[in-house]
Amino acid sequence: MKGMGVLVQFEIKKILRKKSTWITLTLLIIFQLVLSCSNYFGSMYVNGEFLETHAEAISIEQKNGRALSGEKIDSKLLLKMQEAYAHIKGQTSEEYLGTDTYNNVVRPYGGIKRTVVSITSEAGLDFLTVREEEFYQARKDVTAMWWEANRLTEGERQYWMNEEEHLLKPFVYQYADAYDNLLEMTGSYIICMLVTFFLAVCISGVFAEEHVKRTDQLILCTKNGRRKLYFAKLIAGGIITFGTTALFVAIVIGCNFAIYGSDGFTAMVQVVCLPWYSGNMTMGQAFLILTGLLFLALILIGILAMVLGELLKSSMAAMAILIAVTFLARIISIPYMFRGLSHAWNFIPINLLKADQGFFDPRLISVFGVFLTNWQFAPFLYLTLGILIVFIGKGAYCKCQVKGR
Amino acid sequence: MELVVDRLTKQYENKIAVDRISLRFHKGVYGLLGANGAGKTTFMRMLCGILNPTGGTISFDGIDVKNEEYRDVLGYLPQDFGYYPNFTGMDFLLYMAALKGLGKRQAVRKAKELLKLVSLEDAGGKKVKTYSGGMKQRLGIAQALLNDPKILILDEPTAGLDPKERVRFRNLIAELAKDSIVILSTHIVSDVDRIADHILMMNQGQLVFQGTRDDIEGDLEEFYMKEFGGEEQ
Repeated sequence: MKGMGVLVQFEIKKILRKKSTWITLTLLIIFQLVLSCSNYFGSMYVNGEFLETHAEAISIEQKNGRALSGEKIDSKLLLKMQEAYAHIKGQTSEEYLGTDTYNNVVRPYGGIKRTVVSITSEAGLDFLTVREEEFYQARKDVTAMWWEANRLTEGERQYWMNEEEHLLKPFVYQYADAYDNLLEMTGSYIICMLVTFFLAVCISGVFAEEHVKRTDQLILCTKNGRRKLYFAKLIAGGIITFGTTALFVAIVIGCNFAIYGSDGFTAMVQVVCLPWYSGNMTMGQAFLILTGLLFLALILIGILAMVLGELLKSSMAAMAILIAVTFLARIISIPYMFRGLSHAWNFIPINLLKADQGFFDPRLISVFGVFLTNWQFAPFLYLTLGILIVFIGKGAYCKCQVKGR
Repeated sequence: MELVVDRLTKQYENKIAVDRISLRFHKGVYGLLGANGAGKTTFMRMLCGILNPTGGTISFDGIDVKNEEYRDVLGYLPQDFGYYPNFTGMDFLLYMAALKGLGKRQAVRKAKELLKLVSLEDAGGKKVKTYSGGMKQRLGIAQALLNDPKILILDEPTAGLDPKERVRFRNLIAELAKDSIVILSTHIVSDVDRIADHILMMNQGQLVFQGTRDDIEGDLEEFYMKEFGGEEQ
């Protein structure tokens, strides 16, 4: 479309020349950096005495984790880990931390222990005595309990049982602390929350401010001031959203890879973060899918922010709605007993992007008899909602009239 | 070149702002006089297609006011409007030129030309938030002229201009009216007296007078006061 590029450039310029844009962005980047790097700074003390810095601890975990990477979690490895941990049996952490035995014999098996304990603690077993068959049976039992809690239908259970067959057992351990962090702690849902705040502050006024500043009278009576400008504004908002999201993703990846190393792309999700998940997915795949959903979700939120501003003729009202929904989505948890509502709640972007909540939700959506997981269904949902919102906004903007004043 | 307004009406809940106005505009300057609240701004907004009438039609050479083609030949200076404070004067004009569908080169050329015309060539690189009221008004006039409009609608265009600028503006309007329909509203009678070929007077949404300057004997201001029964100027 002729002239669209120039309009988009000017709309981007309008957003970027506002002080609020840069102040908000700077504060959020600082927050994200602090969150991503906080584990790296500080020191550990035992009984008031310095033990090691967090940076040293991470480095040791990384070295030990890498040494174990590629090993199958079978009887042999379980036994080695149990023999090692037998050395500190009955001791408190204050007693064994910092000792040579702990550092040289026990600590190298820390990564395996964490994976094993995540299952045995749920199943009520002792990680020091569990055998391979018991361990995998316990995982199976915990998985079944998880399905029960989520009120899965028979069809859904069958779907996951089929998926389960594709999982290679025994599981193979891989060090993947960076990806673990990217999926759980500092990853997509935190970025989603921060960028949503940014969008609420900086682009909810893309349409609304034209009315507030009374520039709508000038633009609405120009040749390209209605349909073309509507799409130019949406594209500009979309570009700002995409760029901001990319910036935050780059910061989070950069920090985590710098601190923990980039190992673990091919690590099994079950070994690193969610043992009772039945899908055949690596941490790298999960991260890429989550990141793709993050971009899609935030572009949807960006469009919603702009259109809400236009519908309400107020960026403040749009901002309030977006921030309130984001907070409420994280604060309110719908009990599993209200399955439909609880499942739908997990499609709110910030919930979907929380790996252990929406992303790995075992409940499925049946579309013409085909089961889709949340992450498979979400792109269609977000795309449909996006198109719907764009058309609602277009109707409102193109029919907009200048009244009063 | 004909702008046809046929039984144009705008009714709000309990007030008729514009009451069945029918007019035919041709090349020349039309001065629209009326007290505050007479319906001038509502009438002009409808002429610009930014306010839907309750009834009646507006068309220019057969093109309806709602069409993009109509907006393509329109230039509008609203009475009270905002700017983009962080844009420079040049940015503002280039943005408005893009909205009016001008190509990049044409936009730059036209913007420079108009900045000179409104005596803002030295201030073109400065941010609009640093402009005085008069400078903003001149910038507003410049943006209205970017697309060489065939219909130029100016709502209180001389507000904020100093006497010297008002004279320059009147000369500019007279020049533009050779090829365009210029409709300007004001409640400053002397502005209309000097530049309008046709005079329209509105009161309470109705057109109470329509004619040329020659149709009015004597002083326009006295005539206006008589028509409005001594209402505010």
